Amino acid sequence: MRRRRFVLGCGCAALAVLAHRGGAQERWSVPPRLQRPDAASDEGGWWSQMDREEQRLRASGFLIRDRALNQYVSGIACRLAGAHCPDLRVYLVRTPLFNAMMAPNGMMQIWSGLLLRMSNEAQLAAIIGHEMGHYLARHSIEMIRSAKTLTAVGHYLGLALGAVRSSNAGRIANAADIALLAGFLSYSRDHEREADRIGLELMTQAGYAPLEASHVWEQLLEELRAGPDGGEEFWRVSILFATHPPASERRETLASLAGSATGRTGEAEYRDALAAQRPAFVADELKRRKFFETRVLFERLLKALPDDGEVQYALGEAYRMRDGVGDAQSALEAYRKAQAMRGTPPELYRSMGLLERQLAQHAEARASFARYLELKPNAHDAELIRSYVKVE
Amino acid sequence: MKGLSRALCGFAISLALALPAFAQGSRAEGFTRLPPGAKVALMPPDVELYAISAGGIPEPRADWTGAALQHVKELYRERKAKAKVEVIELADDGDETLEELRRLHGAVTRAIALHHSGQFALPSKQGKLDWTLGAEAGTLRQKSGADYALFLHIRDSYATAERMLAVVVGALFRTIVMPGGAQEISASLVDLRTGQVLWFHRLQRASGDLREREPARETLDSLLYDAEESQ
Repeated sequence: MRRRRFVLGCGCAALAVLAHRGGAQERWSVPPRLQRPDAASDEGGWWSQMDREEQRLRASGFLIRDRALNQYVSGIACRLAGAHCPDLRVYLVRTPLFNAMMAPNGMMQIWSGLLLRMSNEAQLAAIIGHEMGHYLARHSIEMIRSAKTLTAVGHYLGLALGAVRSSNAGRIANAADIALLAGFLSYSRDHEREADRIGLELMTQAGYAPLEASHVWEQLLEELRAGPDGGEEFWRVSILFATHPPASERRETLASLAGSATGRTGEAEYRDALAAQRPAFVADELKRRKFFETRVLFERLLKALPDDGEVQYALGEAYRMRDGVGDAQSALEAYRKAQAMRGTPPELYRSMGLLERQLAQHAEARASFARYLELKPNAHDAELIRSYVKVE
Repeated sequence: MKGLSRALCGFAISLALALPAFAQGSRAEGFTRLPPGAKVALMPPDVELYAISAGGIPEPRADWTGAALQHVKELYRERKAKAKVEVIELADDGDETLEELRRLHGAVTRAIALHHSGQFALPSKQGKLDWTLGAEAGTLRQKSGADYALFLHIRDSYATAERMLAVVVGALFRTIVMPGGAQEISASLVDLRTGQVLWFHRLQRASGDLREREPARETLDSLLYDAEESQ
C-alpha cells in the first residue's frame, strides 16, 4: 500500500512539474508575510541551515560594511518589499562578478561586481525585485521538492532499466538521467522567468522605470559579446545559462512586458551612493583579467562619469595589463586623458613611467616617475621607483 | 505496515553494519592529558543533521540539528565535570575573531585528515601529530580566558522510510543501494597558548544517532574515548 502510494505520488508530482511549465501566466499578487516554517518540515530545515550560513556571512571579511551604501540598498529593497520589508536582509558582498542570490529565510546577497555594473537605481531595483520574486514565490523550496521527486523517479527508472539487462541498458539509463537533469534545469528557467515578471511588477509599483530591467541584460550581453569569440565560451561553460533563460530572451521579454510605462531611473542617486566604493570595485574588476568585458564596462561607466579619473586610469591599466600589440599606446592615451580628470590616483604616473621606460622614452619616464614620487613620497615602492629615476 | 517498516529497518541496519567504519585518532608528542582544573573553551559546535530522501538527496532537519547540538553540549559538560575540567561555552554570536579562528581551524584539520596518515601522509612529519593554528589562537585565549579549545564538526544523516524502501527495491533488482545514513564527525583540542593541535579524532561510520540523548552519549564516547581525560 505504502509503496503504491509513494510511486503514485512521484508520478503526480512529476506531472505537476510538467503542468507548471505550461501555465503560470496568470496575474500575480503579493502574498502575505511568510511565517517561519515548522522546524520538523523540509522548509524549516533549509531555513535553519540558511540562518547558520547568514551568521557566517555576517562575520565574513568579504562583507561590505559601508553603512551609507548598505542603508541605500536596503532602502530600495524595502520600497519594493512593502509589508515584507522586516523579513528581508540585504548583504553586500565584495566579489567582482555579476550575481545576486536569495535564500528562503530572507537573506539576500548582492555582489560588488553587480553593483558596479548597474547604471542607475532602477536597474538595481530590477535585480532586487527579481530576487524578491524568488523569495515571495518560495522557489527554492519548490526546487528542492522537485529535485527530491525527480531523483526518486530517476532512481526507480534506473533500477527498472538496469533490470532489463540489455546491452543498451546503461545507455538508456544515462539518457534517463540526462532527461531528468534537463527537466530540472528547465524547471529552474521557469522560476527565473516568473521571478523576472514579479520583479518587474514590484519595481513598477515602486515607481521605477520598468524598461531599465531589460537594459540590465542588454548591458550584460554587450560585455559578453565583446569577447574574441563573441561570448561563445561563456554561454557554453557558465552554469548561469543552464539554470537561467538566455540573457537575450530576458531582455526582450522584459522590454515587451515593460511596454511604454515610465518611471524614475535614479541615475544621480545611484552614482552618488556608489561613489565611495567604486574605486575598490573598479580595482577588483581589473584583477579578473577579462580584458574585453572590462573594457566595455569601463567605457560604459565613463559615459555616465565623463570626468572620473579613477575609471579612466583603470581603462589604461586594462590595456597595460593585456600588453598586446598597440596596447601600450592605447594605455598611454587613456592615462593622458585621465590626467585632466578628477580623482586621478598618483599611481597613474607610475604606470605611465613604466610604459615610457619600456618604449625607451627615458626623459618622459623620468618626469612621470618624479611626478609619482612628488605626489606619493611615502609610497611602499618609492625606493624602487627612485632607483629607476637614477638609472634612466 | 509496522511489520514491514521493522523489516526494512532490520535490513538497512544489517547493511549498515556491513559497511566499514573508519576512525582516526592521534595526539601530539608530549601530550597525555589535560591537567585538573584546566579551562577548555567549547567552540560553537558546527552541527548539521540530514534526512536522506528516496533519491538520495540530503535534507537538513532543523529539529534534529537543534536536539543534537543540545545533547552534544550537555554531554561534553558532563564528561568534563567528571574530569574536573572547567568548560567555557562560547556563544555563536557571529563574532569575527571566533569566525576567523573557526575557518583557520577548518583548513588545518582538513590538512590533518588528508596528510596525517594514509596515502598522502607527509613524510617530513614522521607520523607525529605536528600541526598548529599559530599565534592567532592567542586571541581566543584573551577573549575567553581558557587555555584550551575544543572544536567539533558534526555531519550526521538518517535514511527516511522512502530511502529504506529504495534499498529493499534495489535488492529485489539485485542492485545494492546504500541507505546513505552516516556519521562524519571530527573533534580536536587546541592549546591556545601555542596554537598547537594537541589531539585530533575523526569518526566515519554508518551507525550512531545524535537525535536522542542516550545514543548521542555513545557517539560522544566513541569520539572522545582516546581524548584528553581518559588517561
